[in-house]
Amino acid sequence: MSHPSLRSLVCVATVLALASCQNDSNPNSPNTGAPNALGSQGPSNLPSAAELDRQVPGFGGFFLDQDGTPTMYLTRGASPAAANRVFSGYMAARGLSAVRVLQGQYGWKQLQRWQDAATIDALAISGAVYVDNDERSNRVTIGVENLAVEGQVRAAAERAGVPREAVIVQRVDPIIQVATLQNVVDRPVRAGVQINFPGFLCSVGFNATSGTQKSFVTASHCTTKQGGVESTPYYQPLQSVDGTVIATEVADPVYIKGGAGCPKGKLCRYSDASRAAYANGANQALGLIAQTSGANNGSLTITGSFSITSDDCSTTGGCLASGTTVNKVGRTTGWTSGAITNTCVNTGVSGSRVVLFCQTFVSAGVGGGDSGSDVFQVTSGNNVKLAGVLWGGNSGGTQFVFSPFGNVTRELGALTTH
Amino acid sequence: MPLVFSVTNTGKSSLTLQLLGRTPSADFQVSDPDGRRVWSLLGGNTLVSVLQLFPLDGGKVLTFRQIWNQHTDAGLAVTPGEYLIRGVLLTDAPGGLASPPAHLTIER
Repeated sequence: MSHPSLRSLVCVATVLALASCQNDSNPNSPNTGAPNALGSQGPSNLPSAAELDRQVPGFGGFFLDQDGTPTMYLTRGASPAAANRVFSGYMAARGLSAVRVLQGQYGWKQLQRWQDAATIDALAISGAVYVDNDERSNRVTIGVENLAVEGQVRAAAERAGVPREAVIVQRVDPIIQVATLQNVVDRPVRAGVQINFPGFLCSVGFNATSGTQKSFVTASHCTTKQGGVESTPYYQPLQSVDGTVIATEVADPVYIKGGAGCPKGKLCRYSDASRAAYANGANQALGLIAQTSGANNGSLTITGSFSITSDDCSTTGGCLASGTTVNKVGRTTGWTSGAITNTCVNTGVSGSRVVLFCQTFVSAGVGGGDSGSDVFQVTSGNNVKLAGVLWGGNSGGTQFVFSPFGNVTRELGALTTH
Repeated sequence: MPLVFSVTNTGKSSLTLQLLGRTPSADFQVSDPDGRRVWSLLGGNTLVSVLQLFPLDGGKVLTFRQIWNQHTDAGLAVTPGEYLIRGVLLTDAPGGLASPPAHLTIER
């Protein structure tokens, strides 16, 4: 069948701009918008505290109660008329008649000044967590990890000019920055976390000692030039976060043209693997793989570690049969798990002349940046058998491909992994 | 049939994109009006899973060009009818960054 009428150019386009994405309902667009400060409680056009302070005389703080009713502190003698006027549209839409008014002791702007003043001294005290102009209490609230430091923070607030009766000190849990596979500064470095080499992101495959050299293994294409050693420098997680080079590429065998079984015009190897030597040997977490909260749940938050207690066989193609469940942890899609679907597959790499012999296919999630990830089989609890190094996948992100451990050691030499 | 997929940074400041592969890659996907895939440029291919940090300055355009021979993934000529064509920028996000669909009618 021919289609002689079709000669026109078909153009499709998409746009990128941080501002344009904030109200974008297209599920394919990146969501970079800030969350609505009022969440599901109300529309985003409710006035800010600063705006209310300008419009409502005696304003001391505002919040929505558990029923969604606007609730406002007003200082003694202040009329609720202005508050009701500001919220008239909001209340009418919800069948509410009036703003709920609470007797306030302090104006919002005064509390704001006290918050700023107390912050300087109070947050300098070990154990102080936050200083808040608390719209629900009409006070400056200081959170502390342990009430043993209450006296110190109260004294600090008083020195800052905040009346003792305007301060509430309460015990709260510390605020912990969530460490993910992408942002953690992991020392010593575990497998699965993000690494950065100039212009690119990958994942640490597994830690390995070659002779006495402490190293990690990642993908061969996670080097400046795939095949051959160019002393690629690695940063973790990003050069912009920690500018210290943690490791340097020391092994990446060249791809062979015209070798046994290598198709004409192609470049062949048995593994897409390279090795980088740690600049500081103490940074090697031999045998450890960063663990997230569960397989195939999308989480990148590190909750613990797997321990490598054994390696797959040294045979080319490995010894894990089709149907065996294996796992990987990588910086983009985290911990994914699925069954081996194909073993010892000679695989052409899209967009290149590279052919890799005897690779393993797995039905499990993968994404850009997972290259280099460790692949393993869970043997018991958090103990795992190392299976190889992930290097690729399909465009749908539902199938990953890895070089079996036996292929890696065939080309990089003997490695101690745990 | 020539296809063109362009990605434009309509903002004023540079954005660093995280793009799959050693060089920026895009898929072209043709589907029928019910969303069933007819053809995909990269369907069945194995891609390396490295991420490139790719700066795209404000106002700049990243363009991909491809030819579709009006065959399905199975290699058969498509039948006359309506089709949708999308370009998909391969990023670190699942599914990548897809364009709105272009509508196409094959008449005979």
